[in-house]
Amino acid sequence: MFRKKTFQYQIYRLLMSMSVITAGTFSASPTVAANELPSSFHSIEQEVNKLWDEDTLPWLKQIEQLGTPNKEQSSLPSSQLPKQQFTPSQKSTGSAKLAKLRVRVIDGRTLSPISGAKVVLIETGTRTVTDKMGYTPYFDAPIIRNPKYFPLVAELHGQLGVIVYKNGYHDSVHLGIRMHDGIDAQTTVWMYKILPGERIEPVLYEVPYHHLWVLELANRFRSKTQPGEGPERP
Amino acid sequence: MYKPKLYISLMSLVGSLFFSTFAKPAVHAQVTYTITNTAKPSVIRVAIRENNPWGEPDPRGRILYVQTVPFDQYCRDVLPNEWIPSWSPEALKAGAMAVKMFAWYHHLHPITLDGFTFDVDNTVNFQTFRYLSNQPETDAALNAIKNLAYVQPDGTIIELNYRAGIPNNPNWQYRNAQKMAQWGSEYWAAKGQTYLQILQFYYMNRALRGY
Repeated sequence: MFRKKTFQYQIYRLLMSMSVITAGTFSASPTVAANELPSSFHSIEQEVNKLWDEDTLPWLKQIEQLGTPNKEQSSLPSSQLPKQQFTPSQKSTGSAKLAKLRVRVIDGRTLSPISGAKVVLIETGTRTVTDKMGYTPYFDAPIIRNPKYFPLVAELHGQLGVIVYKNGYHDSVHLGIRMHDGIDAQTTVWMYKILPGERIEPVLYEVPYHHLWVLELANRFRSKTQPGEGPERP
Repeated sequence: MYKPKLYISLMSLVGSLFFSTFAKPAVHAQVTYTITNTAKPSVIRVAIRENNPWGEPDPRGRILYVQTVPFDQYCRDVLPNEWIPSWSPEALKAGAMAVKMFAWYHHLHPITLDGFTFDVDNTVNFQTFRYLSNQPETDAALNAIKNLAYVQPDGTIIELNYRAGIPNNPNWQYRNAQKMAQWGSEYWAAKGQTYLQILQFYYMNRALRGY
């Protein structure tokens, strides 16, 4: 059920429908039979299936294993909660697909912590609440790397998004939270009080990609004939 | 009666008096900032540049304002945006030292641009800074090198510069340029080198000092 709602699945369906339409066009042609489709169509289908199975399915399974969505986690101060320890093998190999995340919520104008704010992890639906210091407890969060970049330049970190709700404040949508294999992560979300006469609109903030990865991405496609700014020189 | 010799000598006297008094070239005292005569900065002035259309601070964007940030917090908010927090602890420590000494040097050498006086900006022009973006692993690295500085043997505070470098490579070319390669620090840390060995590899003729 979850699988059919994802963006990747929709892209997959779109590609499949395109290949069916194109196959119909070719088969209607007097010169090209359906079984003579260009091999590129088959290779696209194979690539999409491969990506879907090898890269996307594992983290979807992990999300399902995280438990029932909308289940509120403990609001005890994070200092009183035991942190999940990763085994040495997970740390050394970087094979962990889940990591711990905590969110700190502050007032964007006064920078004071906001307690009792509801934090929802978009990718899993996990809900949690901030304590008096504005921190949520550490909770399990998947490390999701964008599959479209995976075969080219693997992202150096996964990305997640949270939405924070608090009465009297604009909703805050915080995207692109960097998640790394085997280590805890934290992020700070700014919230802004609703002032009289203001439009009711959420506040969006997106954490940029790490610049080391952007460099890698640019270098990946650089040609020798026109290298642009060229590779970095000391 | 016209006396040219007297006139010339009088003029030369006036001229020499003028130049010695008013037209004296400015002589700036050559201040050498060392670890012994300079305290670690308590704050640093960060120029905040405008974002590009996709929301990232633009190195070529105009300066919006100057934010004064506690020095330690500045280092904590730079390190996870320059090094990768999941890298080896020794690579993070080497990065922590470079980030701190780079900021320290530029605090001692502020610049004025477009009417703003600041020490660093929040982009790759200096070091990538995102307010309140510190991470547990990078905080631990900065704590590990607390009260330590990497300076010239006589204690002079110099800029520890660095560049991205090439992944999975020792990055020897950066050693010759006296710049640390970020990817190189992770390469050497994965090979079992300590942060001091990594620093010694990239910055020659430097010393670790306490303060």
